[in-house]
Amino acid sequence: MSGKTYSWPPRDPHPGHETYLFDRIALEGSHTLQVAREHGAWATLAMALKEMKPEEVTAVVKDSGLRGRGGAGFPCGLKWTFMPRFDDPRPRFLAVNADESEPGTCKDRILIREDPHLLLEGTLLACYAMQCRAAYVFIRGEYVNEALVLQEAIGEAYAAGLIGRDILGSGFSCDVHLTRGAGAYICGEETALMEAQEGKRGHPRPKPPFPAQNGLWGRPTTVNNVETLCNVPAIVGRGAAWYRGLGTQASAGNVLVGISGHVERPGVYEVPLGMTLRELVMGEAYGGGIPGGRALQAIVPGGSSAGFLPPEALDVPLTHDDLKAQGSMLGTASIIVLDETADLVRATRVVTEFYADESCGQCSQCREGTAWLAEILRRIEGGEAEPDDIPTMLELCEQMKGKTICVLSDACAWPIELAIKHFRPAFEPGRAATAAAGEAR
Amino acid sequence: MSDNGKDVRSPLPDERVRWWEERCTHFPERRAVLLPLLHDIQDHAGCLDRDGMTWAARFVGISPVEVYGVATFYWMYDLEPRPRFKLSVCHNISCDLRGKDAILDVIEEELGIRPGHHPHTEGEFCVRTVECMGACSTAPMMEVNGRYFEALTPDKARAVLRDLKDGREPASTTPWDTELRPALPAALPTHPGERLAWRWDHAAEEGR
Repeated sequence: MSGKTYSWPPRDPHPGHETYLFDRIALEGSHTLQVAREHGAWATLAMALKEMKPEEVTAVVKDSGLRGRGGAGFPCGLKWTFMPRFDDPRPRFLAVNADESEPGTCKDRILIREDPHLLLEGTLLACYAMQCRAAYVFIRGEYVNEALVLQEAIGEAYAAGLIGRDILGSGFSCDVHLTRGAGAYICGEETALMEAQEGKRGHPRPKPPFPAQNGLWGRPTTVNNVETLCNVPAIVGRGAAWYRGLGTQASAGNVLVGISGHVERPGVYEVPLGMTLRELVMGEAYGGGIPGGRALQAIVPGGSSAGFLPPEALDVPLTHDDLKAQGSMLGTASIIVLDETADLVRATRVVTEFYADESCGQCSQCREGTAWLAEILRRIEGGEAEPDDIPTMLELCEQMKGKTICVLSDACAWPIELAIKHFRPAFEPGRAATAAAGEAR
Repeated sequence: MSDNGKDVRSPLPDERVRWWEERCTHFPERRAVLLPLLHDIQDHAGCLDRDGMTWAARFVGISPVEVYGVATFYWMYDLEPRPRFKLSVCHNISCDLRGKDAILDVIEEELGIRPGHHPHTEGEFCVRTVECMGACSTAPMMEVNGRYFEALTPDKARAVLRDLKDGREPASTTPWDTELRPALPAALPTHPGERLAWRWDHAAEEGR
């Protein structure tokens, strides 16, 4: 594997705030062990194995306020404490969720491709804290190149004694194994991910039992997202107080924000949590505003499941609580911008068809509801809205929330509810048919 | 074609079968290797046919129908042969906003086929639209045999398609190199060997 890959857009070396996730990605050969180590990789693991007890690592991560970056925003350190006590004799595992598939989201892919050793160091620190026997990384099947890069990085780390038996002479042993999936959004859901890792269909499991008691192969398991684990080396190395100094009180640290859609400079940017959507969409250092001076119509703040917000939402800070107050969520912090030329009904139909396509089919509310909603939206887009379409959709959404094994069903309902709340006239009868409504499926 | 009771010839070279045997010891259950194993069979045999699935079922110790259930759940497995070039165009929201329709137009002009959600074949090409591939900030995108072409414009897409038609390796459409190295299916990662911390003995209850 060779050939320097580059960040997109080329990274600003002086962003005006502290960074720790993207520090190495612009370096020539950043994916190699040699370059990564020359620039600080693996030093924190060496320190922790020598100077810290496992419980102390967990305590630092808990005190830092790190919340999961995979979408749900659950406190990471707290999750680690759910694992059984160390006198439980069962082997325990870390499952690394590299199944990034939320529409609008392409951050983990850059971390894996450009700095796999950051992910591996965070993975090993987590395994040490929880005394895991092995980490099983599940990467989405489409990320062929990223899987090749990560597999090579794992091989290099084994050869250097950073993974495997008796790591750095500390007596701690832990393996890392990579599995490539085969294409299914649902496998990003933590229990579906475990099913896929076990070689099965990605059908979410009912909870309880929770993974910490009964996870991979029935053993205690913690599932963490790639970006979450990439936060861990900096937290353990520089301390919880330093980390809490970044971001806001309830949403600490930096986050990778993906910006896509109608902006001048789509890209993935490392910023402290709490920046406003306006700074990120309009700021010269980030999205750079909307092309052609056109007006903003709608903004999706956290991946397609976060739904559509009106232009007034631009002044909302990017934090878990502020976006929740808007009826939306931080999700994967992936911003999708729709300008005045976008067709909001079409955008809603596109994401709804996505959920209909990706529903695993176990729960009838989801299997039938997603497909029914998509059918109504296709009809509205074709200019044949009926007066009771909106009430029907809202009723369907109500029936789809909180009633299924996993939240895919809810994630289909939320964007539709938000779109009707903020853009209701677009879904009412009287709309002209659009050419693309008949797109072949 | 073969039935459950008959012997099925391995779709993989012996060296690779040995590699997968070793891989199985990394997991508490052999079945854990199933998804990547099916990829490997597909890359070697061109598709995942009944023989391939039956062999995989024997290898991991489950019934062929269970493998079929898995193979049909994930979109990346082809149960029938596909042409030389498999094209996937993302039709999700970010790519839709950034002009995926113009890319589909170019494909129609160059290959004479309008891709839909089910794979369509024309000559050496098989084209379909797919859900989010994780290239949203470099939308629109097209994937060809595992390789991403991102930040596409109609002209860039046309150049890629013409290179493929003329038997040339297309250049990357982004500032970074997207060529797969090593090319599949030759990618056999090295074993962690003696550095491996744990091996699972599937005959025993726990690993040793």
